[in-house]
Amino acid sequence: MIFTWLPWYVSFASLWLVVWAGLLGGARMVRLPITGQRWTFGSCSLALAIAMMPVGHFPLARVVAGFGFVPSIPLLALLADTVLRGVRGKGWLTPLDHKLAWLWGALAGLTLYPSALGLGRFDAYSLGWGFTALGVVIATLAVWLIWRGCRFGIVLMLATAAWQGGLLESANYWDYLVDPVYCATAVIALAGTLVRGRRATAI
Amino acid sequence: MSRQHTRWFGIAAVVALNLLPLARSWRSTPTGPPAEFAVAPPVLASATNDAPNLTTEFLDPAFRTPSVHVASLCEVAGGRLLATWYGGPREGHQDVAIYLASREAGAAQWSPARPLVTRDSAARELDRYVRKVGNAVIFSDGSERVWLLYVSIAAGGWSGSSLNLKLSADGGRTWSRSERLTLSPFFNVSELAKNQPAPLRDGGWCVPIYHELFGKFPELLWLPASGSARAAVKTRPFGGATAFQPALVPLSAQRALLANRDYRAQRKVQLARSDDGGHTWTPPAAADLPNPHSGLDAIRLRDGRVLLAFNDTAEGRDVLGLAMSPDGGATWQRAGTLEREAGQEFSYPFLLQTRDGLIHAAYTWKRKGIKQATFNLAWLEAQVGKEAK
Repeated sequence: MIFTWLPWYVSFASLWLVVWAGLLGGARMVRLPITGQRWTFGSCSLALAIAMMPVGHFPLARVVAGFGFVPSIPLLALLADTVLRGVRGKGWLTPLDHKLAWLWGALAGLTLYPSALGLGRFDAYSLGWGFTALGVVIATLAVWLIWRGCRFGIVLMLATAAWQGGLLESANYWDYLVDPVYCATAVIALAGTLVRGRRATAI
Repeated sequence: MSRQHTRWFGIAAVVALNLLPLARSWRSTPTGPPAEFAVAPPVLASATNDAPNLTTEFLDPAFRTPSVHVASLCEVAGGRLLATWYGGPREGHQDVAIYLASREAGAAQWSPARPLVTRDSAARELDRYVRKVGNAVIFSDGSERVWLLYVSIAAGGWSGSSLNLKLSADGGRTWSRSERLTLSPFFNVSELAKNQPAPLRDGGWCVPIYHELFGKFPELLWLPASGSARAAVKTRPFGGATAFQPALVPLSAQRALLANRDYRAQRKVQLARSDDGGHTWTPPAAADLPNPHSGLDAIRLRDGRVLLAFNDTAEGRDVLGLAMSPDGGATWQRAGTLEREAGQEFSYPFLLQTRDGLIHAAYTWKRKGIKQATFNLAWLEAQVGKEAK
């Protein structure tokens, strides 16, 4: 662990990104003209104010942290990319990276959560304590994706680096790779892609 | 920079940021739980030769809250005893607090209880919203160093629990800030503790904890000697919808017994065994002892026998009994009844054998108080004799 206070800041940064991405996405849905520095600064400040808004004795970000929501690094990357796309009109991750991110979120989550919640004797979460084969698999996957020119490989590399640096409250590697919100979103996004694909084929 | 250069740069970054630190953690990661159980030395002969003796008392008789539950005990330096339990308007109420009382060696009674953790103090120390607190387990290596593991909940019932750790370096007089343990990938919920841990030879602890969200099952929390919450590791003896709320009994450096509460129709104490320091476990098997879906505790006495405290009835919690096993849990003999009153609740026993050889059982008494029964081996043996007749 590098800095013990890092997880505290990450809880603010993650809610700030969630709210900011939500504001930009919402504005786009109602077709508000959200380009320009003024809009960027305004939406950024509003998102920060919401994340820091006092609820009872705590800022909203710490209330959310109290409910156990700690975003994984891929989810943070996706949120950051959504914000970048909303602010600059162009993101850092390509559509292929997004598909890979959803695929990873769904696969990792569906591998992890059933076994971690007691389905069977084996607990996949145990692979995240210290050095295990999981680290080698992720590093190999990251190298392969980067070699193929996929930026999602860099996201996986950053997730491992964040785990080594103790960026999140958890010491378990899995918590840096996937979280329940990311997994649920990924499953919904993949299901949506499949449904749209079938409709297109039917037409 | 060309695309080829970007690729090589990315791969160099993976090696520098991931593979090299991974290799470093490979060297520092043990291949399994760092386990050799530290088994207590034999008890002093004088304590075993006394006449049969049993005394009972309430921990802080003046303590008054409408509901109390989940007692735990430990012995610190100088033979001083510490006890914790939770009390409040009712189980799961937001005004429930975790209380601490102490008893000096040779003192006639326990000190008045004081709140050690409240919802507000937990929220302040953890710097996050806490709706209520619950089960707590206090333990010590016999020095002035004391650990407190306790449950906090932000939403929902007990299945929404997370575990937190507090340390004391002066026998429970002052305490560190609470530290949250992240033990579950699913919003870090449904991790609870009820029974005492087994000390490890390296100074760490193996704490029996449990999970109860979709399925209920036991888990083992491996705490390092440093007490660092981030260095804690969790393993699972067996999974799925089996048994839970385990009591861990180290039988030797490598052998251990896990006695579990049964919540299925069988309603029997469920036992699992390990021969490799808690690394792997047999599937749970029913002992010939009832368990009416209620908490139990078991310890290894210093003469090697295993003592179990449990609700000795198929339904309800109105009989609290003891059983002893001379052969590591293979066979059991009834060893007395601590409480019996129809329609009442005597539950959640917690056992401790102190260095003087005396055995202490603390338990919930009708939810109105925490009662402590103190007895010696001679009393236990006399009870076994009575049951045999």
